Amino acid sequence: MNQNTPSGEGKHDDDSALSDFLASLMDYTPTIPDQLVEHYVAKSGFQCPDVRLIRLVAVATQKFISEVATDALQQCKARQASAVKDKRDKQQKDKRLILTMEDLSKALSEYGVNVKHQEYFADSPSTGMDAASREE
Amino acid sequence: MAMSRNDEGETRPPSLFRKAISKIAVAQICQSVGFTGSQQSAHEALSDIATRYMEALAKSASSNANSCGRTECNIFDVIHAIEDMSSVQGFRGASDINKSLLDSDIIKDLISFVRWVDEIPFAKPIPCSNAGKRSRISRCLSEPRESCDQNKEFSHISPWLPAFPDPSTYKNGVVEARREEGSSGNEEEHDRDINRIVDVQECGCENRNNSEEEKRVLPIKRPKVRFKLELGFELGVEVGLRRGIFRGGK
Repeated sequence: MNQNTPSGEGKHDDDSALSDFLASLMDYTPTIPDQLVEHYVAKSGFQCPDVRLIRLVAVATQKFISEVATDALQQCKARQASAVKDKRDKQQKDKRLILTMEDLSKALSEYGVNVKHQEYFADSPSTGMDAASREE
Repeated sequence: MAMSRNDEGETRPPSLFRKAISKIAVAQICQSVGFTGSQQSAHEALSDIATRYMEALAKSASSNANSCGRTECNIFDVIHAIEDMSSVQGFRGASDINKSLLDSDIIKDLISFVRWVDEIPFAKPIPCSNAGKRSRISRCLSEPRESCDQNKEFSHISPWLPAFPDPSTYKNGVVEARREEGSSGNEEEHDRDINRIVDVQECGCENRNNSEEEKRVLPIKRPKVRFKLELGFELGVEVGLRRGIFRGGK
């Protein structure tokens, strides 16, 4: 696999670390199933018989999504912390951590993704309520 | 919903299926991060982004491979693609152009991610009906080679080209034999059909085109039938001939 490496003298450690990592991917099960990754990857013209590279793509995607989700979680916590100062009575209700479009779009803007969404859906019974309590 | 139905057309059920799978996977990731719930719209947006991320990464990797004159991606293409995808945010060591790709900090981050984050397998095994689909997806990888193995005479054809069709589709003898075989078995049926159609026509129905088409495929040569015609009947007989009443063994 690594035979055509543009390698110098000190690269052997990195190579072995990488090949160990790739070997460990054989036993690792990413949250995104192989079949799904294989489908989307084949759709884009990616040809590779090696399941380790499919797993690598899956792990990279999982890392990206979990980073975005972590950022959104921080946004959510920060928003709740500032909201609690205003209304202490709602503290109990707001404690649930719910992924909302506001937090997600703020988190995604740091990753170069501009999410535009409707300000409201009029057909929802909870329209006009607090964003945090608009769980579906 | 109506719009998505129009957009996706006939591919709707499988796309719903893969959407559902990606949504479940994203929900699991969100739960592992610490969320307890999600808005439907945010959840759909994030799972859409996950699939787009995969597609973009794969597109970048395959274009890297193609620009190097390869059809199959290798680890360098994938690492390069991952670096490209994270270059929006920037990463450590991105400015060092002489650094080996295998030494990339992106990969180190991935290694530590795999090491420190709990392994959460997908919630449910994906049903068996997907097995056929999976083989269909990866057929483009496996099938040309199989066919090359099967017929050695085509071994000079590159493996990325589609497989040759079945020999019966381009060899004349085989096709003709098959056609004869098909027609000779059904003589009686054809006879019966044609007789019936002619009978129907005698009653004044307008199936003329159909019956003429049927007559063209008469399977056997029939014995000649001779008629002696009087002058007075000539007109009627001609019409009858055109309609096919007197042709064949009537």
